[in-house]
Amino acid sequence: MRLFNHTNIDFVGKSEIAKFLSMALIIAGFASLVMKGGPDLSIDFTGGTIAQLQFEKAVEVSELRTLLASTGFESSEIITFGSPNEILIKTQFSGANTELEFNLRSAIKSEFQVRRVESVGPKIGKELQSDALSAILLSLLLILMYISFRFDRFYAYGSVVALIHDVLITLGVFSLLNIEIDLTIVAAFLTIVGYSLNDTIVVFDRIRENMVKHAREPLDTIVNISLNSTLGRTIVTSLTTLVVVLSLFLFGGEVIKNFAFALIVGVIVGTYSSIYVASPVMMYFEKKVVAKK
Amino acid sequence: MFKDLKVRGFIISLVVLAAAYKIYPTYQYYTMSDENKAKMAHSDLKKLRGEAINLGLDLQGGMYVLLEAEIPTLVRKLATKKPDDLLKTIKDAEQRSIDLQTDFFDEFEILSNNRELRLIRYYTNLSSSRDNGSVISALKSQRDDAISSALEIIRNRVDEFGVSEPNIQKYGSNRIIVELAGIDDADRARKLIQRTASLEFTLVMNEKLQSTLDSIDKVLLTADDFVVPADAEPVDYEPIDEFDDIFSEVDNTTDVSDLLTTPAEILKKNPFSGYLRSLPGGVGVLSNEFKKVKLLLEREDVQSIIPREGRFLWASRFEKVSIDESNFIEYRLIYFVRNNPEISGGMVKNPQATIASAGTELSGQWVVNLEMTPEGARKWSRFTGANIDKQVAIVLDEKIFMAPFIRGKIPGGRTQISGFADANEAKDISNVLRAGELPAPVYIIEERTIGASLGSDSIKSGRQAMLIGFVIVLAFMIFYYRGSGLLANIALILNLVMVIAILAGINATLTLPGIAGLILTIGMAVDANVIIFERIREELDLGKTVKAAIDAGYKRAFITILDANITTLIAAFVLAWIGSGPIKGFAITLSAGIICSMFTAVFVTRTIFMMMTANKPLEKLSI
Repeated sequence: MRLFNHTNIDFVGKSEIAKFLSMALIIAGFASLVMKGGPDLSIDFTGGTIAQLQFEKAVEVSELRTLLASTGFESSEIITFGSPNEILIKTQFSGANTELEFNLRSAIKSEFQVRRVESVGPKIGKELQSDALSAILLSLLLILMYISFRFDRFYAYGSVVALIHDVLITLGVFSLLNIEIDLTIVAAFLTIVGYSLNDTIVVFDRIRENMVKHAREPLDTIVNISLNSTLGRTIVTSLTTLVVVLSLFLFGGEVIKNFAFALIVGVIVGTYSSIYVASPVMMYFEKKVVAKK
Repeated sequence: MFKDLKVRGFIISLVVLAAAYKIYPTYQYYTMSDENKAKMAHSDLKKLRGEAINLGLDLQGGMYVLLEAEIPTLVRKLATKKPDDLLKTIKDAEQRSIDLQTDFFDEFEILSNNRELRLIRYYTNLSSSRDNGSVISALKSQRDDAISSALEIIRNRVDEFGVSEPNIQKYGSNRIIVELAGIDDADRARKLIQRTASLEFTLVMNEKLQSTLDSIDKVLLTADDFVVPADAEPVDYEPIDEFDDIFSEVDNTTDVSDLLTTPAEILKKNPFSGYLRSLPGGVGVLSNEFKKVKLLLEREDVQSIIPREGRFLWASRFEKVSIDESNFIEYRLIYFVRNNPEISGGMVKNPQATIASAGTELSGQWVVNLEMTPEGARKWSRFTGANIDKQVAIVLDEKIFMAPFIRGKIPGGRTQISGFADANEAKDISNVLRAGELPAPVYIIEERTIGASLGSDSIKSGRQAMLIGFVIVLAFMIFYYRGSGLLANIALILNLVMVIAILAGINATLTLPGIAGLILTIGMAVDANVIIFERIREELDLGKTVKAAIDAGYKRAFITILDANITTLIAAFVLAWIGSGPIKGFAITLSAGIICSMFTAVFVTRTIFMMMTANKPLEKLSI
């Protein structure tokens, strides 16, 4: 079976529309980030304690809130987590959690099981923040170096702009949907970076090949031919990857849900950017330099 | 290269066999019933567990704790004089090191130099050189000692939990990681980890041992609820197959403690003391009988019969002794010690492991020197004088680390302990002794505790997500690429097998993000085949023969695959390098998946294509 046989879509011609779409998405995300004063960071980065409790039957969160408010958990956030039987309490970092479980048990009368306690001191939070940031910057730098080495700098610019585009949009989507960024999300961001690049490089590789084969054609045509001939592969791989991350999102459990969601957004945005962002940016820089000469 | 089909076939079979060999212990361990595990010899089970893939704390449930020693407090305590400007400098250095995420000592040195503080004035006996730099490095070595001591204390306590393989390690210069798998009482663990250490020196009462054992035996024999155990089932003793060990570490000795269980005949008469035997270092219990004896000792009727002046204490660890060339037994010593300690930790000062100076009797051997406070020295002198040739137990948190003999009266507190096999033993003891001096306070700065139920839920849902994703991808590939899709599926299955084998081979830990990495691998690993197949389709469209199309497809596609995968690998490697725990698990599975996909999707599928076109030219390709 072949879905994308001998397509002849004018991708390059539509890149103006894509430019507006991308800008709109990025600006929307940015606006949301600015209004909130930055992304929602989890306790991994801000420091704090979360406790996940499982009750025998569904619990009324508002009831729980009043119960806990009177016992030193005034500033805690309480939300349901996955099933209505489970709740997540987010509170300040208190050093040892020795008293935490005791206090919860004396405040909440009904039986519950402590499923998870995670607690990060403010100092560690800061360190994890700078680790995460340096991981992202370092991999971007290394990737830039690798692409400049294997292709040339125009391709490198194109791919890195596409990557930043992907991460910015995903970050914006997270902000718009009020999803917290924790350590695993950072890992997801880096995976998106890797994945989106994978897509981009397959296209670039074909452009490079076609530059030799169709040397007389203008750059626009070459890029269009290349995008069309790799379209089948782009779509199929995105589909298989999307299937598995969707499966992870739907069946993988609550703990990994946000991670899977980041990957879903990343795969979609990454596929889009390898077609509509990376190549046009590469062409932009290439043309600019050629024009100067 | 590798043009020959036979060579290719051989390489593939070799890889498959090696993978199966590495996966087998994991399969064996996780499919074995608890009952069978209990029956298995202690050392064999340990070996099997070591070879199987470990589950991360987020999957099996457990506790991860990061502790930090407060170095500024230690530096403050060590000062002999504490003027305001020193205290202020310490405080400022602490704040700066937090804000700028730098080392406290670097900041302390810079600030001291800037403010023209002469540190030697406040740390008079730490360093022989007088400049700030040498005082700082002397302080740093005090910090290292404090951390080693804290490590020793925590190691000793964690033993209480009976956690199968606790991981306790130093992290950075002033942190300690504690990982306890399968813990169900997190509150107790937290308390135990943070409790102040208790160190004491107390008399070993060997002369009271026999009579106490006799009365315990008597109590047990008359107790209604006590049944003399039957003979333990004999354990088959198989010498290790030499071939079996080619890939593992060379260890030609075997723990045969299981073969030496105490026969029921003896236990009928001596239900408690029968377990105790004379072993190197004193009286002890075989490792496989340790739990039984410990439970007997904890019985209420047994505790009530033990004379009030004393109690039983276990040695801090198991010892090994060879009984012949290829076999050893493992045992733990037990002591009967006096309840009122002579010396408590606060009286011990400045313990140092060192090589005994030349000219003395012990010249060249490792010894530990220590001093005492005036009060301690007075008590110690009286005690040692009264108990010459008896043993004094060094007890930390109710475990005996060593029980040296008192050779003579020790006046003035200056004491030397000898009898260490090597430097490490001596350093361990000096670390234990330092626990009494109250080293830098240690605080929990990060904790992650996952309940066992959440862990098993995560495994269940992870497995389900993987299975569903896997089946859909397999079905899609056959639907879209027909016969060739089947090839890609074979490659994909082989890919997963190889990734799991690699995880087992490098002793990696499988975490929840690790499972996510495996799932992602399923989706991304087919990419290499998709690139190849799409290329072959294009070549066929150009009118090439099947064979030529396949050759051209693989040739062109390989460079693309390599370039595309290396970038993903770069991101994964950075994650594995900077990330911790679960994130590392994700990065490792993802990298392994990508690397393996280059072998399975390119080499393996190509070989199958070659086999198909080897004898008769293919007219039509199912793609």
